[in-house]
Amino acid sequence: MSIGGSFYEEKNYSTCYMCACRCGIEVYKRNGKVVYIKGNEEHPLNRGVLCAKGSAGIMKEYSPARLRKPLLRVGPRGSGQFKEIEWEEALNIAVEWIDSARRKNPAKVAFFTGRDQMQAINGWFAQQIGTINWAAHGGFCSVNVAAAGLMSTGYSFWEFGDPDFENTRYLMMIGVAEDHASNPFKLGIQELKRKGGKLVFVNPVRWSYGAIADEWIPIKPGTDGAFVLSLAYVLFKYNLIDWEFLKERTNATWLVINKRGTSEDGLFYRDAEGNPLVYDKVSRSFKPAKLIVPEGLNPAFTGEFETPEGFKVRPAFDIFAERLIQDYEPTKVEKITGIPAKDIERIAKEIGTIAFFNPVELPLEWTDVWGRKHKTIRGRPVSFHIMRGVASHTNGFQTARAVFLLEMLLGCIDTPGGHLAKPPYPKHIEDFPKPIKIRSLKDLKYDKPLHGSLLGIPQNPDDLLVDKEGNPLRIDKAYSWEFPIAVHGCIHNVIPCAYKKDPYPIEVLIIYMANMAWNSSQDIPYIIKALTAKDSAGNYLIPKIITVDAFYSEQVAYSDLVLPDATYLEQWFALSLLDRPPSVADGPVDALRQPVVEPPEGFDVKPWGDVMIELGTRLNLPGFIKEDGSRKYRDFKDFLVNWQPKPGVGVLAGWRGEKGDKHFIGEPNPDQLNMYVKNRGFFYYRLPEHMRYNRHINRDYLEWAKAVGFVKRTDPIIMNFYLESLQTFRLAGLGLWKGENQPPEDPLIRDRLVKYMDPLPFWYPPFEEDISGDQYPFYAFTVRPQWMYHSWDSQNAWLRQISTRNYLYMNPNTAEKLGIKHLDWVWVESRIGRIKCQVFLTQATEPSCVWTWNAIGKMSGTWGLEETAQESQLGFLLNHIIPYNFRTGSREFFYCDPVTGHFAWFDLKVKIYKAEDQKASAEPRYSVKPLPHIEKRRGKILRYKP
Amino acid sequence: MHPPLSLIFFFVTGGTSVGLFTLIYMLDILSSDISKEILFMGSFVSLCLIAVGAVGASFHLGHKLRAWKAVRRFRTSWLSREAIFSGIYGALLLLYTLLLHNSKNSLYIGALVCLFGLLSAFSTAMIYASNRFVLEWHTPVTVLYFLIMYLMLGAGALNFLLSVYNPAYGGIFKILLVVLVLAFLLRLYFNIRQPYIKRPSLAEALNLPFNKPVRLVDKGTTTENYCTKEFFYRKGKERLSVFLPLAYLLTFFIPTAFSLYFLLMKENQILVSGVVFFSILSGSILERWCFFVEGNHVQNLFYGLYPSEKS
Amino acid sequence: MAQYALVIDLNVCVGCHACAVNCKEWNTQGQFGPLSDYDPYGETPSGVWYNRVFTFEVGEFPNVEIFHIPKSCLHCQEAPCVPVCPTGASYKREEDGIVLVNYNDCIGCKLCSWNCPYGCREFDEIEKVMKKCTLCIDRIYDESLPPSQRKPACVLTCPAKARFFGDIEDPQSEAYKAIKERGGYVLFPSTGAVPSNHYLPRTEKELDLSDLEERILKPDSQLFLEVWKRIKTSKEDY
Ligand SMILES: Nc1nc2c(c(=O)[nH]1)N[C@H]1C(S)=C(S)[C@@H](COP(=O)(O)OP(=O)(O)OC[C@H]3O[C@@H](n4cnc5c(=O)[nH]c(N)nc54)[C@H](O)[C@@H]3O)O[C@H]1N2
Ligand SMILES: Nc1nc2c(c(=O)[nH]1)N[C@H]1C(S)=C(S)[C@@H](COP(=O)(O)OP(=O)(O)OC[C@H]3O[C@@H](n4cnc5c(=O)[nH]c(N)nc54)[C@H](O)[C@@H]3O)O[C@H]1N2
Ligand code: SF4
Ligand code: SF4
Ligand code: SF4
Ligand code: SF4
Ligand code: SF4
Ligand SMILES: [Mo]
Repeated sequence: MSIGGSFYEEKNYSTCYMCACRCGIEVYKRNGKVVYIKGNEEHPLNRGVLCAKGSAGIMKEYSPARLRKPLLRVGPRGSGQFKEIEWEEALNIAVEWIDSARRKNPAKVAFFTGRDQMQAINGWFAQQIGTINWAAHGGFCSVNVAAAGLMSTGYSFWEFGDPDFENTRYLMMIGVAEDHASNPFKLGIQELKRKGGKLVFVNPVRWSYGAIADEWIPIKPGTDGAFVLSLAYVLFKYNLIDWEFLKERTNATWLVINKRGTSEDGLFYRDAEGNPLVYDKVSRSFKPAKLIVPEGLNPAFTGEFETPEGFKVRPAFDIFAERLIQDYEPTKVEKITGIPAKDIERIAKEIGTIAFFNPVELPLEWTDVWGRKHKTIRGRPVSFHIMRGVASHTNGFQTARAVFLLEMLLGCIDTPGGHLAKPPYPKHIEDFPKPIKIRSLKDLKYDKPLHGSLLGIPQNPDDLLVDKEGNPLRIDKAYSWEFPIAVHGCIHNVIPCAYKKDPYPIEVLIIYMANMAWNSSQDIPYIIKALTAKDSAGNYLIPKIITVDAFYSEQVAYSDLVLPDATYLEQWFALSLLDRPPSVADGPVDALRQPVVEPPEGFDVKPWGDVMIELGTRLNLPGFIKEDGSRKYRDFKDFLVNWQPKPGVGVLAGWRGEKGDKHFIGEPNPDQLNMYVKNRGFFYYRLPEHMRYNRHINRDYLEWAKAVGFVKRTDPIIMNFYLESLQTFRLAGLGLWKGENQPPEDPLIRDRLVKYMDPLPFWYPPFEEDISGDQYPFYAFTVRPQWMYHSWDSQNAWLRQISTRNYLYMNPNTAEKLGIKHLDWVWVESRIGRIKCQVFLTQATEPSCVWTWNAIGKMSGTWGLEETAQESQLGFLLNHIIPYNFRTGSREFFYCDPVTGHFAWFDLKVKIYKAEDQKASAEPRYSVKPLPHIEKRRGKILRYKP
Repeated sequence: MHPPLSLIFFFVTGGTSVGLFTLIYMLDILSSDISKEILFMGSFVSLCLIAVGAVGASFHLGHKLRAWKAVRRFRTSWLSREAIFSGIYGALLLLYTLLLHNSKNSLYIGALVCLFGLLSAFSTAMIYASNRFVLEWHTPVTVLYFLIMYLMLGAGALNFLLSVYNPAYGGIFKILLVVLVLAFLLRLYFNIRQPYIKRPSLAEALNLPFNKPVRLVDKGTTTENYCTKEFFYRKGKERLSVFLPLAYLLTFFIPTAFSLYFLLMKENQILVSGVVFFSILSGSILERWCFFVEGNHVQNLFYGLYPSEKS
Repeated sequence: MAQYALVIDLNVCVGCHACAVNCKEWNTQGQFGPLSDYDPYGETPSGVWYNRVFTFEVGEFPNVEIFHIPKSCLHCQEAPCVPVCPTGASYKREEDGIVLVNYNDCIGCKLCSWNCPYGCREFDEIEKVMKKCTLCIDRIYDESLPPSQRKPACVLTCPAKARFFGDIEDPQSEAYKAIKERGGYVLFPSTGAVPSNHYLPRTEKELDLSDLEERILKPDSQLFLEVWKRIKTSKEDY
């Protein structure tokens, strides 16, 4: 056997985009085509490994579903009838549509982005257009976890932080199947397990990581908040609490005013300078919290104290403690969660024991912000990871908050063995941007770009985006009284809102990289109606839809103008620290994508970045034009190098400065991209050891972080045990808020604020419990398959062989009670409709729920698949029966978390019965005409070997 | 197992060839009733059958033109042996037929033809019987049964041949009857044995430390693949309950009934003999089909397609 | 004599299919590729894979476990697939024990696959030859690759680092050590094929609190009792 020469002719470094994990890749080429993609061994994120999706990148590149030219709709919307047009025409149309809408009011242009990795740039583009109607996909994805984390600890899970796999001894994953840190987590978990750590999987389904978990806790869906708070109860009972951590690094001891019926009730008790106060048990007096460490105070955790002004105050912890004891005793929580009380107790003890009796102590000298020098860093080797199983419920925000409080009780935040932040996080919580402020759409002007962040964290009702009557100003109702803390916007509301012209009509809807006509919307029959409905004059109620996509998705089929994007292997792109960087806990990372191959022969596609520059320039948007009126950026590559949102800060942080000798801050470097290419596609600054932990109070870290622009100051980042800002919304609900924005008189809205904007976490049943109740007894939800990314991998010839269609997974006992057998076809009915699908029995499922793999079901005719493809005939989409709204009295609410507006996919409740007709076919089925060139491209045999 | 039609074809053509020649040769030696003409016709038909069979069998191969390479592993491979023995059988048969044609009868060569015919049959049988992973096949009965089936096919053919030439010889009925009954018994044994086979379990295949029931929940691919198609023929399994009785009826019952009739009537009729042979032939085709479909490959354990011990 | 093989740690294998897909990717372009796919965009897509991941379930709710078995050719020491091959196309290499198919000699009779008890050979319907895992022979001996990369594609890619490669006869190798230390075992030992690939068993981490239970874990939180009492008394007030 002769092994001759090398298998490739060219090797390039880039960043994967088969999912949003952003792993480093090596792309090998032969005869001008990609022959092999491998993980980049040096990349700190994936260290050489590559997942199934990443390994199938070639099949995405050469997928027949790819769009090849701009498309203009010629038949009715959704008919799939398009003509291919030239780019010149496409750009002119887009410019004309956007410009004429913008002239009426910039808010008439709505721009929403899905699996977006350039949110900072897209948001800036929207600012240039002058519209407030921009958001990425976070609103239906993870905002509950993100917002709760950012507001509690200054960072959060996945892109904000990771467990310290090196040192952790106990990892509890709650409501996670796969999540974005796909490769890093697998690398981490094997390390944890090999070092003898314990993995606990809290999930109604024991698949994914559950398979290798040491313990599975089959929780009833939607009840995690109660479980977590009950763990806190036990920890408290056994005194397994890091009091010092709570005292120095959180606001748990800060005093809360107890003055019912006043506008101060529930806010912190402050001195004249506005410093929050604690009650010092040593001096028996009120002292500013900031003196806790410097003066060695001994602040009270419990008790009630009378202030000199004559009212009562008590530490935030006391309120929480009372709540724990009243509501979250394990025996009570057993009834809610289905987890035996003795297990709750045992698990809490395990966690506590590991945290307090097996702490890690690293021999690293460090200095805290108060100037104390420490010889070692002590850590609590317990960590958590939570994601959509928590986030995607209507109680998701408060449940996530409960987890962050649990972490605070254990002191395992950014300490060795605990959960670590990834730079540029953590940040000072008060310094997070607020959403830009306007009081009326009239504040938006045709030629006026917006200065200020479109998204952010409101600190009180005056930061909301509502008009004088309290009506929403954004088309997605983000930052309205309905969803005040909609930190990521509410992309999922856009289509229903635009269709109902509520709060106002829009003209142009631009969708980038989101399949909103299908798997990222809910109640698809309704969405399709919204997308195709016309007024009496025959005009579409949503007048113009522009979609930027690379493939023939369902969304593309329902668009008017389609701008075909290039793939990740064909364009310059940056994974920026301004955005969602591929950082690791050890230090910041940013990375590059570079064009590795040309689009296939006959393809006339353009990277969205280039198109955005072109549109911006042609629209004469200020950011794209020089003073002299000439264009500022040649193309996106030029933009990546030269755009500076702030002087010295650009898209990429590495090799800045004219000579490329500065990192983080420095003038643009014309040769920067080449330097990235030379450095294998990424930039990584590994923090010195003493700056790796306790970064909220680590002086050297904070000084460095300030110098590179990650934080604005070097004060300690004090964590919010008690979330005072939520109380301001409660006060508004009670009519006690003194600011300019007041909620509508509607008691439904006001009661919601009072009930849910609780500064301390609590558990309440998912809304659907009340709405659907026992009539629809089962929870139904989706789970991410590890080998597929949302809707976009069914086009992938290799990946689709692993899952060509999906099943409804069910516990055999449940099935037996319902008279259902393995592989029976059943109807799954929710309060808004029903779908027919096939049952697959598995014991690894909690009996009160059913589930399926996410986004496998397809609309026939899309994704380059033949019309008979199983994805569209046997596969099904749960989204058809997920309600997008509910009614209480006269009022309609979108079906979202009442705090953040996170869409609550997993609240879905259903009943299930055997289908009369056992014919193998899923219902409902939709179809659209495939594009002619796509029909020609797909062959019957595939033998890939360039 | 998925029934390969080309191999079934080879079984009936090759089987008839070997069986027919063996019987006719034996008869030639043992009695003088067989005319040279019939002997020649028998040899010639056998020759044609083996030739057609070989061509047909090659359709089983992905690369027919490389078939000659199959001789290389004579030392270990029953398939290689089959190829060689049946090749030699064919060549000797050709020689024998040519000699006959030239009116030279060679007893020795005839004997060699028989020997190689039987060796070839034996090798073919061993391909199946030696396969440890299809337990239904993995028994000496498979070999015996193969040989008897060959003789049965041959006897059927010979009976038909003789009826065409209408010779006086009637002993063939008895032979036919005997092999039919033997074949039937062996086939019956083959079937009766199946439920008693000690089958491995999935837990054994996965070599798990415990004996709890294990269930397959995902085979790594939603659709079929080579392994599920080649080793498990779902449609066939569904049809077995019809095809197997039919195979019994056609292969054994109808021919036996007619043979008894022959025996009683002591005469042979072309039409009836034709029906008998056709019945044996079509029955054997079905029977072979069932033989494959009844075979369960242990690799099916991994795909949840292997029968459990009880059933 | 050397016997190269894979060792797969079931304690960390999450069933992610990365090994299967990366194997497909490497081998379709490699010396033993392409690996045909049929009906890739149609109703029933399928194709030739050298490695597939199976998922099994054992036990009953809530005491149920899910585990994954990635399965590729096990490069058996008494490979039953080899002697049956009439052409010698299937062979086991003396020097490293890798079982290979020489496509030029294969006549596509499928007999080797009939004699593999593990279902590890897949016929290429287009090329009409038998295919199977080559242990990435075209990687492990490719001297143009840096030594750290001369490993099978599936091993390098596995995100859970669940796969080891090496000479299971060589006490120095990672594979040998893993088998010895962790009690590596083979699939379906009764076949007599003596597989070379090994699997490392599951182990479950259990924490024993009994010691602490007595000494430390007493409900002794002063603050807890304080708040608890307060609540109880205030309840009595009502
Ligand atoms: N029932 C249910 N529904 C859910 C979820 C759930 O758990 N259950 N999860 C929700 C969550 S968290 C999310 S994030 C969403 C995700 O849902 P989407 O954001 O809709 O994500 P995808 O389905 O991946 O589709 C993104 C679009 O991007 C296109 N695309 C792919 N590559 C490129 C490219 O290079 N350039 C461009 N321009 N376009 C490209 C694809 O063709 C596709 O049309 O789904 C949500 N929907
Ligand atoms: N391979 C792959 N990776 C992906 C994606 C993908 O499509 N494919 N999508 C990416 C995206 S956009 C996102 S947002 C992340 C999401 O990553 P995950 O959070 O892992 O997403 P889901 O699969 O939606 O996981 C939800 C998990 O929660 C469980 N669950 C449901 N309800 C409850 C509950 O009430 N309590 C608890 N404890 N568990 C519950 C489900 O069983 C499931 O295991 O994954 C990202 N990574
Ligand atoms: S995890 Fe995501 S980014 Fe990383 S290799 Fe897989 S698909 Fe690519
Ligand atoms: S890549 Fe590794 S973890 Fe994933 S299925 Fe294969 S062996 Fe298991
Ligand atoms: S696993 Fe199968 S193909 Fe591989 S050596 Fe063993 S018997 Fe042969
Ligand atoms: S299919 Fe090829 S490799 Fe297999 S036994 Fe036949 S000739 Fe040998
Ligand atoms: S060793 Fe190579 S050929 Fe074998 S399974 Fe792994 S990647 Fe595939
Ligand atoms: Mo998401």
